[in-house]
Amino acid sequence: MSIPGQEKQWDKEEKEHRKYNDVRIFDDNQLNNYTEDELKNYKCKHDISQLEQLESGPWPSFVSDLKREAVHRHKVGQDNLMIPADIVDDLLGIVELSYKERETHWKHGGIVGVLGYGGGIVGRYNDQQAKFPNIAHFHTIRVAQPGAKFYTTDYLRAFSDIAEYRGSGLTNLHGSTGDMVILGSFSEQLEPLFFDLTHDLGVDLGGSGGNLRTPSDCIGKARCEFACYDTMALCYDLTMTYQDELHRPAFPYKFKFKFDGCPNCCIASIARADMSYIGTWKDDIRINQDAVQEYAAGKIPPDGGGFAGRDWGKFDIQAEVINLCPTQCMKWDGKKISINNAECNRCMHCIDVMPEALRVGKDQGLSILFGAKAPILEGAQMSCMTIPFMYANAPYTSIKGVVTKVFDWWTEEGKNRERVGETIQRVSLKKFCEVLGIPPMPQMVTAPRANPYVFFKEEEVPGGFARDIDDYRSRHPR
Amino acid sequence: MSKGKLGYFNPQKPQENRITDIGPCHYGQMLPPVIRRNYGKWASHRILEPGLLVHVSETGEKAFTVRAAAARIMSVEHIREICDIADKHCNGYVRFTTRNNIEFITDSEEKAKALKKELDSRKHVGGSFKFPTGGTGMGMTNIVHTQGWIHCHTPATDASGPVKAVADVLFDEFKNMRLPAKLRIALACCLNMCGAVHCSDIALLGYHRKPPAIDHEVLGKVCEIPLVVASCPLYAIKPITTEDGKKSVSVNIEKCMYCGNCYTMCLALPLSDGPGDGVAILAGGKVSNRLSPPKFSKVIVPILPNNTPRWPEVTDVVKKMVEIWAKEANKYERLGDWAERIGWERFFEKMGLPFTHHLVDDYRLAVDTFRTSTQFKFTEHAWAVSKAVGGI
Amino acid sequence: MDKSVKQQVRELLRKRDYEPLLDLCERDRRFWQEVRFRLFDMDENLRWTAIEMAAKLMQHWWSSGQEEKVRIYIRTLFWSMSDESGGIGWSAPQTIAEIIVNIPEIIDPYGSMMIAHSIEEPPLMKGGLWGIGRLGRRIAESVNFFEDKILAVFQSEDSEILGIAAWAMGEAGFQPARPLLEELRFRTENVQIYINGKFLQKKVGRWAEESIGKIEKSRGIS
Repeated sequence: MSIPGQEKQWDKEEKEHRKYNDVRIFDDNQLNNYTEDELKNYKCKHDISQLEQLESGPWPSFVSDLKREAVHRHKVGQDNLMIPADIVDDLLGIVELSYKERETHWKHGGIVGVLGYGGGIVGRYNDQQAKFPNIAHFHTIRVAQPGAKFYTTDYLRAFSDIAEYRGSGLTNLHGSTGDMVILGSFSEQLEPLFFDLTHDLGVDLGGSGGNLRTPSDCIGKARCEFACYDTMALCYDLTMTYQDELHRPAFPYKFKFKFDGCPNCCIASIARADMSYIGTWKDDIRINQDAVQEYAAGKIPPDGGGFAGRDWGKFDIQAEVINLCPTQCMKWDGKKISINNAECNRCMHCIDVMPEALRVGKDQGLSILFGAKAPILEGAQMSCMTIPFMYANAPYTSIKGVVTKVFDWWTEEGKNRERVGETIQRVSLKKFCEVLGIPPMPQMVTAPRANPYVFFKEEEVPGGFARDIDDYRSRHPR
Repeated sequence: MSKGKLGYFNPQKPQENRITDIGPCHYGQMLPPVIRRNYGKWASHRILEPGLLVHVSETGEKAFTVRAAAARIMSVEHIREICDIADKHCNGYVRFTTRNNIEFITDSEEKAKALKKELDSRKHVGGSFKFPTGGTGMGMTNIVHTQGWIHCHTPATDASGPVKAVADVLFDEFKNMRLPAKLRIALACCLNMCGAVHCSDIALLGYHRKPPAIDHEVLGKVCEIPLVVASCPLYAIKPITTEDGKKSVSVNIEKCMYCGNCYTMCLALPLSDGPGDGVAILAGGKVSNRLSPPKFSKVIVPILPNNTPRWPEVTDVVKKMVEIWAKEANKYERLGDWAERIGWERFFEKMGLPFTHHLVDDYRLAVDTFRTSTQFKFTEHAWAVSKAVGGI
Repeated sequence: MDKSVKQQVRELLRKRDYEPLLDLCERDRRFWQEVRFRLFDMDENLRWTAIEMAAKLMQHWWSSGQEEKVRIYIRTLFWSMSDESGGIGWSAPQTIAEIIVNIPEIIDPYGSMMIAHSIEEPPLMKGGLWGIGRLGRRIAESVNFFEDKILAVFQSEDSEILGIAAWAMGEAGFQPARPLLEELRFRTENVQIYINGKFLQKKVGRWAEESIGKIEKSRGIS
């Protein structure tokens, strides 16, 4: 919801954002200010002999990358930087120290932020301030990423200037939750940095703390034929709807939305999200029988050609598709494939193998699963199938209705540092169903309970729970 | 343009011109034209070669995607170089994937191939590739990881270092598509597991091995003792009064499994890092619903030392595991699927890894992992048990 | 996200109409959620009344036997002051202090914890010092325990910190602060402090003088 007076910022859908040249901080001379030789000759003022061993080998070396940033900062000069020019040198030094001692040198402690927001910035101080003064503070700033991490170079260049001028020049693209991360700023630069982001880049901070974390999504309908709903649109809509929950932590612990377009789960929502939105369909898989025959004849490679690196022999549609189907719902008569769709559990295998012949159904929507989390504290969980199918059409009123119910209940019921998955475990899945106002369904479990310790409600039992020992004794004397 | 120590911020009037609650940029501003024109109309795709995808729209238009690796921690210089490439080849558009790769999208195959060549040609002065292309199809893609010693205050290992070491060793699998199924590797530098480490084919986990040190001087004044007691999942903490009358707690070191939850609740219980820290290896997890349902990764090596800078013990195990799985698994079988089909005893036998007491579950629901059937295969582990009781 | 909930809460907070707002919070959780969002509000009037509202709600829960619920909320506030959470509890120390004023028996350990979690964190220092002032003598014992850290705040160059610290020392009757207060007597910066529902503005020197007077008096009493 927009803040009064800021409607112009809110109403930025589909409009161009500002060009790099309108907001740049560094000029072209400052950007191209060192030669390859200078880079080769760079010697860090600290000994970094162990780290330098990580420069060889084919995989992109982060050490080489850090060095190039160190060189650039030196050449730009301290006058043109609001953060110590030598911050990357000191970072290399302190990491090298960790490599020698096999311990971290970052301290527990350090609350920093911007006014009005209860999160988005994580404070960090090192415990070797005398040795590494240029890295006395090393706070990270989370910046909300655009849907499916699509960027224009204008945006990235402007972001880079801000990250180098008011930060260490090092970033994470991206953090685990999905935010862009600016690594390494000092406390005094946080407000100016926040103003730069909102004014010049038109972007907000991400979330941290006991809040709704920045939602993230797969590429969805932007490029993937498997996507069963517009992940980017839903992710954006919910992110904007729940800005209060994101910036002003009022939850017992963190809460994550993640949006997967199909059961292949490329954004791993089923393993990482408290509320996983996974695309699905409820009608029939679309079949192009001519294309099926091409696959069977070996004319189209399986899995889009993903097996091309090895000779697996002739493609055998019967063995590789029909027989592997987990529900055995498919038949191949040598000419046509037939699918008993009612028996299909939409595992995506056949579609993954033959994307030019099989397509997801047309009657599309999403399933909602709840409760995934990392091991702390009671153990790792994956999210549990709760709502089998919902249409995902703007303005997503029904979906938001479900979210509201969950937020309201969990804020009240959740104990400290209890993810919603653990709350559900504690109060029982059937109680969670009551909260959502849904009946239980077999699809929520892999099997009904084996232990017979069943609770009944008092109203279900004739005569209720009150017992009268005299009445009992009248029939069964001692 | 924002310049100077304060930029647009006025500390005397912090509310002035403050913009808040605007969220991310709308994705519509960032879509390359070919994507925008065919949004929601994509019909199929192919992988033309490792690192080069083509998506075909219902309209007949095609989008060519070149995928290149990235180290996740990225200097702005690197970002600017990516932008230079994207300006030259992709009209100023670029994206990143969920697993931290870079993707460049163009609308012609020749452009894509030229771009791929350019990307593969670029190297750091230290010799590593800057933007190696690959990571598609049945191979390894990027290794998801966290901050490690570069930024985190609770890590038991580094993140970027082991990732570089492992990725170097498995680089051919990034450049090729010759594995039985996809290979997803992740690293977490501590139990907080920032990332989907608990459901990966191969997972590396930093692990502490010492109970917390207790600061009795301040604990009672700085922490809520009932909360500290309740924070331990194994009930290893109890309240005590010290000899000089201070309220504090004690930790039963027999029960402690060094998860660090008490430390998170109370600063006076530092989980001392030290020679005890190391890397555990887990295997057999997956996230996708394809064929078999998602499953957790299982601990297969409880601890390996942090032998910087290349973690050779870790990379040896990982390399061997990938080689054996690649050789023996059926087509479409993820590592966990294969391990389950042949049986975990066979897995440990082939890997030559010891099966120690560390690997038997003793936490909540451990009973679910017990093998309550007669179905097993004979391996050396089995003979060792029989011999131990004089059975043979 | 109901516009009317947002609006209603803002109006009631501005009017300091706590009774009806408490009613609403009890009947519909979304009102309580909205009050909690206001704890971060840039508008001081809304922020302080939200703090008072939160404390009144906690007092209501406590007296109706929902003690665990109150503790869970207070722990959420402490969690937001822990960097482990990644959060920043801007109003957390003040809210905790205000809750203790409403529920005196929980001062141990929450009073000393409030000081411990805030006194060394720059964004929370002012809140923690305000909390000491608000609790006054009740928290004198903890102030003694954290003497070094509390006296260290007087090294600050921030006049607001000095003003609030000066006021707080008087409220707590903290004798060791006396020499530092003497040094502040001639400071002329204006500092505004929220006391008993009003914003009072005085020069730092004035706050210091008044506190010296209060400390003298407390010596006389004890």
